[in-house]
Amino acid sequence: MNKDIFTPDSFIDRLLTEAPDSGYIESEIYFNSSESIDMRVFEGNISSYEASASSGLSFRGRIDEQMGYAYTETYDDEALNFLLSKAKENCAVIESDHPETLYPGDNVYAETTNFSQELDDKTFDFFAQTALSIEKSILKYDSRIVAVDYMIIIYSSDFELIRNTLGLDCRETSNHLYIFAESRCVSNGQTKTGYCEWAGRNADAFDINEFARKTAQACLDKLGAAPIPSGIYPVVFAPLAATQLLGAYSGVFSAESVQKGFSLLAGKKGMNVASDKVTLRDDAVTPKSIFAFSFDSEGVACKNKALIENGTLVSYLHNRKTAGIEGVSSSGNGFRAGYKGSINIVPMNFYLSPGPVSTEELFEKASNGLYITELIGLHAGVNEVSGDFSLSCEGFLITDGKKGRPVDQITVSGNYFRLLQSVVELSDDLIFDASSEHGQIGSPSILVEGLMVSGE
Amino acid sequence: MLNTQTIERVLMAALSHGGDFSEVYIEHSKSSGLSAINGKIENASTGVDLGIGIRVLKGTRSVLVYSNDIREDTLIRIARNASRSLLELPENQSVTLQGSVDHYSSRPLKSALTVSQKIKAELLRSAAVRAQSFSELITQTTSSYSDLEKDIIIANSEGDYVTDKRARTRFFFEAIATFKGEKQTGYVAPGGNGGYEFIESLPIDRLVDKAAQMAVTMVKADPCPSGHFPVVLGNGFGGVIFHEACGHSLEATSVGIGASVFTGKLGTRIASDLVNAIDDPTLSGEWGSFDIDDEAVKPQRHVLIRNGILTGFMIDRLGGRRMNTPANGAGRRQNYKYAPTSRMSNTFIDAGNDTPDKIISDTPFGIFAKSMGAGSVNPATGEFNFFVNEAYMIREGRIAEPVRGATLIGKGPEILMNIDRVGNDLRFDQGMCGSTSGNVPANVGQPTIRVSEITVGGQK
Repeated sequence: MNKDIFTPDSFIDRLLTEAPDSGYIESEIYFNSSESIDMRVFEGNISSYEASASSGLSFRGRIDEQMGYAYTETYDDEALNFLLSKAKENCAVIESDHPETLYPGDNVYAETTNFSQELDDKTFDFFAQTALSIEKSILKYDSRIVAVDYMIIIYSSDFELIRNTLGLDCRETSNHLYIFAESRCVSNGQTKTGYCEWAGRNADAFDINEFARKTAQACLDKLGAAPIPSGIYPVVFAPLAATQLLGAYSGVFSAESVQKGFSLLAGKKGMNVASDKVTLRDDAVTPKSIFAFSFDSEGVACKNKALIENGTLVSYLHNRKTAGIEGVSSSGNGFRAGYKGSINIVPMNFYLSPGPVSTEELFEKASNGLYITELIGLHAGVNEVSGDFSLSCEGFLITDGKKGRPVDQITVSGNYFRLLQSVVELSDDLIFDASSEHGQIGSPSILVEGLMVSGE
Repeated sequence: MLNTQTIERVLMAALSHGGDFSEVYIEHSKSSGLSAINGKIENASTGVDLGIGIRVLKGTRSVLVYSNDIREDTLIRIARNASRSLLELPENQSVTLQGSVDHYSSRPLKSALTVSQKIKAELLRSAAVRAQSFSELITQTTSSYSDLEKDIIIANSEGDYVTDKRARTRFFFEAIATFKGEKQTGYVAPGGNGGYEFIESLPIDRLVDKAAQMAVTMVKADPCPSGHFPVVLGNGFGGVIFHEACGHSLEATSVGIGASVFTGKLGTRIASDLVNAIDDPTLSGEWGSFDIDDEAVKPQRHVLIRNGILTGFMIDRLGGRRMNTPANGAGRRQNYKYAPTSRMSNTFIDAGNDTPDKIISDTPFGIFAKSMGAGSVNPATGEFNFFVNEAYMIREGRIAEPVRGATLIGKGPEILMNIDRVGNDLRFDQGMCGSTSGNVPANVGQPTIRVSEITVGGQK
C-alpha cells in the first residue's frame, strides 16, 4: 500500500503502555481514519462538493470482568487521560453475564484487495465530468424526463487499525466509488421518480450511457402505474426488493438476538426454517461483491459459511462473546460501526444463493401475480421480532406469465418467517446491492406464494 | 477552541479562489450512553468529538470541507482547497468578525456530564424491573440512555460570530411481549432539551407501563384488515405523518430545486380549511428548539399552512438563494461533518375544536391509529408509508378490538385535503429526524385528527 496514512502511533503506544497502571488487565485500540469526496450535480453545474478527512480512536479495556469503552477525536494528553478514566467508569457499571475479552489474533488471514490506487488517483475533474455526463445523458434520453433530482458521486477511502496488549496488530485500507442518480418524469399529469446506483472500484469499467439509460428507464417504466385490487397474489420479488427485505431481517440470524430471546430462530438450529430451495450464505469473499473481509473488529479471521442450507438452519452469525456462550468458534462477524461503536454482530456478504431458472421462467411459474421491484419504508414497516411486515411497494403486474403494466399505491403484507417457507423458486440473476458501506446484501429474484396485497 | 483572528484568516482563505460566502462551524461535544437488555447493562461508552466544517457558497453552489485536525495551517490549506473546487477567479475579500454573540439553546440545570454512569445505569435497571412486574407476558426489555453536550462557534464572511451551548438527554425503553409464539413490542422514547434534570422529571414508571401495555395489547391483537377506511390518528406522534408526508416537502431543500409537490403553491389551498400547521423552533425548552440556527440565523416561527392555505416554507441560506428569498432560521446540521440545510424543528398541526371522544363517537367504522411508528415519503410525488404501532378498530363510534401489522399509505397532498376533524388535544412527541444534513432532534405533534379515507395495508 503506497497510500500515506496518518496514524497517531506514539499516542497509541503510550495509551497501551499506561493502561495497566490504571488497572486494566488487557486493553485495545481501534483507530479509523477516513477521507471522502461527495459531489452533487444539478442542472449542469456542480451544486455541492464535500471533502473530508477525519479520524477517531476507540479505547476499550478490561478491569476485573468487564470491558469499558471511550472514544476521542484528538490525540493529546487530555484525551489520553479522558480515555483511561472514562472507560474505567464504564467498566464499573457494565454487568454482562458473558463479558467481552480480547483476542491475540489468528495465524492466518485471507489475502484481500479492497483498495485501488488507480481509483485513489482520480481527480476532481474525473468526478465532475462523470457526474455531469450522466445527468446530461439522462435528460436527453426521453422528453418526458423533466429533472435529475439527485446526481451524486461519492468516493470514500478508509483505514482501520486494531492493536491490543495481547499482540494483535491488524490493519486494512479500502476504497470504493458510489454513484447514485434519481430522475423524475411527468406524463399525463402523473409524476414518477426512479433511481439507479452503482458501487465499484474499477471506475474505468463504469458505463455512463448504460447507467443513464437504466436511471431514465427506472422512472419511465412506472408511468401509467395504478393500484390493483386487494387480494392474495403470488409475488416475484426483483433482486433489489428481495435484498431490501433480507437486509431488514438480517438481525434475526445474529446469535446475540437468538441468545437474548429476540429472534424467533432461537432453538431452530438443525430444523427446517425455509423452503428446501433456500440457501442463505454469509461469505467473507465472493466474486460478485466488491467487499472482501480478512478480519473482523475483534481481529478474528473472517470465514465463508452457510446459515440456511436447503431450508435447514445450520448456524448463526457470531462474534467472540456469543460464540463463547454457544461453545463454538466465532464466525468473524464481530464488527464495529466505526470508532464510536461497540462490537456488534454484522453480516459480511449476506445473500440468498441463486436458483436454476431465468427471471422469465419465474414469471411463467407465477402465471398471474405481482412483480415487486421496490419496497418503501423498510425502517418502519418491518417488525424484526415478530417477522411481520407491511410495506408500501411498486412494481408490475404479471399477466399470463409475462411482465405487464406498472403498479403503485399498494402495500404488501406478510410474515418473513412464513415467506421463507413459501419460496417456490429462485432465479439465476443474483445481484448485490450497491448502497451498503459495509459488506453487501445479495439476492436473485424469488417467487413466493400467496402474499396479501392491499390496493383498490 | 480557535481565536477570532484565526477564524478570520480561515474564512478569507475559503474565499481565496472564488466564492461569495464562507462559513466555519466549530464543534466540541461530549456524550455518553448506556444500553441494557433485560435490565443488565451491556454497553457503556463516553466520547469527545472535536471538529470543524468550512463551507463556501458561490451563487447556488456549495462546497463543504471538514476535518478534526484543527491546527491553523491545516485549516488554511483545506479552506483554500474548498475554494479552488469552485473553479473561479479570485475575488479578494476581507472578513472582519463582529463582536461575539453568545446563545444558549439549552440551559441545563444539572449537566449530564456531572452525573455518574452508575446513576444512569440504575435508571435502566429499575425500568426493567418495573416492566417485568407489569405482566407475565413481558419476556424481554431493552433500554438505553444517552446525553450530549456541545459547544459550537459559527462564523461567516458576513461578519457573524456566534457561540451556542446545546444539551440534550434521552431515555428509550422497549418492552417485548410473547404470547403463543408471537412477539410484539411497545416503546417510549422521551427526549429533553437540557440536562439530567429532564430525566429526573420523567414519570418513569408510567412511561414503562405505557410501553408494556402497548406490547401486551398488540401481542393478543388480530391482524389488521386491508382496504380503504376512515382513520383517526392519535395525538402526539401521529404528527409524524404530517412531518414526513408534508413537512419535508415544505423544506427549501426540496422546494428550491422544484423536487417538492408544493413548489409554486404558495398562497393556494393545499389542505382542508381545518388545517393550521406550524414549525416553531422558538418554543421554550422544547426538544426541537434552538436559540440560533446552524447558519447563525435567528430562528422564527414558521406558519406553514393557515386555514388550509400554504403560507410558508422552512428556508436555509442556500435554499434561500435558490428561491430568491432570505433564510428564515431553519438551517440545521447534525454536526461539523454535514453541510447545513433547511430542516424542521417543532412541527405540528395546531389544535382545533373537537374533543377526541367526539371524533371517535362520530366515526361509525374505521381504524384508530393510536400510536404511529416510523415511515417515509417521496417528496417529488408526495407518496408516503407509515407503520402503526398500536391500532384499534372503531365500530359504531366506539374503540373496539386492537389490530396489529397495519401500514398506512397514500399521498400527502390528498391526505391534507381529506382531514375532516381536528381535535383540541395538541401534544408533542420527540424524534430524531434524518435527512441530508444528518440526524437532528425534532418534535412532531398534533391533536387527534380524522382523515376521511386512507389506504390501510394489513395481513387480512
